[in-house]
Amino acid sequence: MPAQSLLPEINPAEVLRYLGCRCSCDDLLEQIRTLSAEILCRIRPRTVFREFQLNMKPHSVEIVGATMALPGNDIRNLLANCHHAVFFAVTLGMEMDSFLRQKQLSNMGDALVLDACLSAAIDAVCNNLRNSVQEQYAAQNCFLTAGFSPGYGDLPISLQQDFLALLDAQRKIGLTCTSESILIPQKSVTGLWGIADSPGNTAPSRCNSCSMHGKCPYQLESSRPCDPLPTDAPS
Amino acid sequence: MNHKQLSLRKQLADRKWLFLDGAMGTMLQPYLRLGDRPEALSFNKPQLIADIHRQYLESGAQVIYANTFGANAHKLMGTGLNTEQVIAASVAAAKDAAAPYDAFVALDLGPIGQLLEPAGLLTFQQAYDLFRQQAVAGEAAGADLAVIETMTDLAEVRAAVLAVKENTSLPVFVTMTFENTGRTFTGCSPEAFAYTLSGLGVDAIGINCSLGPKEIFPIAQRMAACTSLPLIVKANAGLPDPKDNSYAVTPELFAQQMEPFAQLGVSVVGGCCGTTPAHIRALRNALEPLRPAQAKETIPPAVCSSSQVVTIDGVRIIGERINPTGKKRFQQALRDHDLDYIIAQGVQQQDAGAHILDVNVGLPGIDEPLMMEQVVRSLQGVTALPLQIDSSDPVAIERGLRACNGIAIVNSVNGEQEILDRILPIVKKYGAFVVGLTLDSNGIPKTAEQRFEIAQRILDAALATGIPKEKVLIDCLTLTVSAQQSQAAETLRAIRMVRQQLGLHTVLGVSNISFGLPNRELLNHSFLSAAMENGLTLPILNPNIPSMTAAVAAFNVLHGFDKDAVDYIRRFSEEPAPVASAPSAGSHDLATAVKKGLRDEAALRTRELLEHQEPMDVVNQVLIPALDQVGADFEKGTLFLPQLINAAAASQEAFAVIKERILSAGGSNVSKGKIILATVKGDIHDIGKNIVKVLLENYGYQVIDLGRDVPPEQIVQTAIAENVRLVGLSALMTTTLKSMEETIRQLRASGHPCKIMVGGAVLTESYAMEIGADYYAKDAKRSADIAREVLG
Repeated sequence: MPAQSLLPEINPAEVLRYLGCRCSCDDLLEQIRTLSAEILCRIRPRTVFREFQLNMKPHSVEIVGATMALPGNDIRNLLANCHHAVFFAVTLGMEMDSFLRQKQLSNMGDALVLDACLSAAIDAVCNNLRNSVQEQYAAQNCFLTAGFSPGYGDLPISLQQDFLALLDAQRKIGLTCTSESILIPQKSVTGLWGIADSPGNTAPSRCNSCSMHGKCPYQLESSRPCDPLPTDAPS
Repeated sequence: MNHKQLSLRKQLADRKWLFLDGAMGTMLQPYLRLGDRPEALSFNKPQLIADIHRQYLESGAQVIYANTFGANAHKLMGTGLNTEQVIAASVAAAKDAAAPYDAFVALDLGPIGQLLEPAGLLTFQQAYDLFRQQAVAGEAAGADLAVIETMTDLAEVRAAVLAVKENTSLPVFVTMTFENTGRTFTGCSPEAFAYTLSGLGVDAIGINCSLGPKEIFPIAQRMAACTSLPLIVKANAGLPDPKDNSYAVTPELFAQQMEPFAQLGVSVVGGCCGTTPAHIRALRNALEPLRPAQAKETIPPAVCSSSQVVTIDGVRIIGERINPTGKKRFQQALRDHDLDYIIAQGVQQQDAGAHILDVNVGLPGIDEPLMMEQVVRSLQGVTALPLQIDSSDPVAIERGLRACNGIAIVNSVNGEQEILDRILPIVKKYGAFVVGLTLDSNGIPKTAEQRFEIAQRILDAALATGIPKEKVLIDCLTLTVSAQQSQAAETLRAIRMVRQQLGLHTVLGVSNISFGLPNRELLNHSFLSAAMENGLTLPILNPNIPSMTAAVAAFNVLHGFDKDAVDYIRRFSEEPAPVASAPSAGSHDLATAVKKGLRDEAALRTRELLEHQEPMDVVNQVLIPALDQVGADFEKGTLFLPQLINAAAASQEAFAVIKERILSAGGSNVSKGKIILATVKGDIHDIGKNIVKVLLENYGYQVIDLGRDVPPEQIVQTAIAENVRLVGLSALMTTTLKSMEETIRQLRASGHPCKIMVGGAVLTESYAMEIGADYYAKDAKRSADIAREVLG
């Protein structure tokens, strides 16, 4: 997908949420706009995804043709009605890591806001990629489940390396991880979407498997999960 | 070197076709599950591997890559196999197959699989050690050459090349893999790659993987313009289908698409992902009747970083600000190991228009070689400018060059034979440029002729060492005009002679000319213009002074170096770009400027206040109360983290002015006590720690920032050595909390009396207490409160 359709814009409301801001004062919005514009003119998000057949086992989900298996109940529940899943990896690339390092030296205030803009950007890229893949499957009357990543629920984060190997992600998009399972470049995501025949389990509340479930201020105070309050920032 | 290696080099030198094999991975796909290590098959099914090699040899390959691509200790971890075993088995299988064909067997070295600093955690030395292990094993197993391939990071390439060249006598081929933007994932350009590797003296360079021949062609074209080395192209069979990863370009089409490479001078060809023996057969049939173009004889001289090439055509500015001479604040930063201050000087000069950065970190009491390496590495993380390593210590020069990810300039040697003998071989080894000062043991000669004579001597010595003429730069030396007035003209005359008679480029530090006189800027500016008219190409100056960089811009237009005045127009016709925190109307007092996060205005108001107030009074009576107010609003929830940090960033500007003032008045550094900050071992997320640092510094604490991925031992040692009473630890990942716990354990076990505060996204108060911390800092503001509680 071209960069433009993967990331046409960065939503200031999402950036405010990452900053933990419940305000939307003009100075801050201006800072967000300026930095978002700088990001959009130099960013090149990279994505890789591939479909695999699944094999349900009593305590895990096996991937046909690969060494990796996905252990745990959460992933089994998510994929209960799926025979296949699309595995994906997404990165904003090394350019953004370096951009963030530069900003930390020249202006820490900008760096903090830039970091939040990039977090909002990687979310947007994941969503846009999902929508595009979803469209392809819709033609076959298939539906994508919610996304799931290493480190969610009881799916170990140590599977990062296996996700990368499965997708040949270092070669394809330059994505690697450390022995502590930290992805580098830093603004990156790996995960999967199950492919289901019906839309039944496609959108379980993302809150239910979140580690902040029950204590998240956004969930408690808003009808829309994870939305900043007030939601009056222009998008 | 054995006869086989000699014949390989002869074939390359004659620009005769050398056919490589095609993909190994593609051929092994039916035998592997995703996630299996292909190298294990050399062990379990050596016949299968030998058979694939044989198919390629049968199809016309003259070089086969042994199945060792991922045989490094990192990738083999957990497989039960070790590097030596795998390489011995893989090379043996290849040699077995190659023997009847008299073909060459290459030890194949792929990326380690972890990124090097500053993006990742792997150090250059760790990467070097992993490659050395493979290279030594490969030579012992009987490989004829080493191939470093599918690389995306120039630093990793350099580690691999040095490991092979310093520990074996194997010829070396190197290929990187590019995106269709013409850069690698880490931003390395084909030009920078070509210049750097030509400088290191490998046998052939080129491109493999990622793209098909059609997409690779324009990239190879760019590379060919920057090297006279033989070129390699090992392309994929087109682009893969994103859905099932299959490749569709047929052998015939592949061969046809490879034909145009002959005219570029590409003489080493093969296939990568998706290619098969049929592709190699078609390739050989198609290309053999053609003749590769001969090597280019002249390549424009250039220095480079991994992403930026600066050709020495026209005048280029070398920024002089990373240098402690006469700069008390810089000296203090060196003594405090304040790398952020030092590299910020680099970023500032880049923004001001420098093309190259001089790096001088020599100061009595400082470990110059270590500091040189650290500053060079840190600078490369934030600027793309090529570097000039400025030192007289050969050890510091070599450490700097080894760390330098590109082609650097060494500043300097002079006409003394002993110095030439010690330093020129180091310059040659890393492919650097060298500055020769026109002085010797008798001092600086008085006449231009005598200086010219020394320049000639330096050139001869460089040529005898194997350094090409275009990499020799001469500094005819600026003397202070107030002390030795007649010497200014001699310097200018010497520059003209060196440029015209020796054809060498010249370097000159211009600012010295005006020492001791009023209106220095005018003299510097005039001398610079005169020197450029006499042939100066690389002035060393302060790029933060606009009139100096403007003089260079104008000169480049007037002499036609800036074609169509493109750079000049860009610089002088654009409105200054808006910055996120630019000062507004400019009518605020310091406290308001800080609260509003107006950085430039905060600095300005501080300068005004310092005219009639003591520096520490400004800190205690204005800055800290302003920050306290912002902090209180933050705690009330009427103001949020970005505003708090914007205020801290503005206050930081004010503090910089204050520090400068105190140091230039001969005072000692502002400090209410020392605090160690570190992101724990294994963790690379440091923005949280850096935010805390800014805030703590604003409250007057001296932060010893140990960086990220810091081993517990280093934290303990520093705490003891510096007698630090408060240690702040940060971790962002659940996987690195155990490092935090271990660091606390070691700090306690050392018996050193200190308080420990911890913070990070995944921490909670109760977990912080459970692992033995004294304080949980839920946010940056809280860390400042804790510091006040512990240190006052």
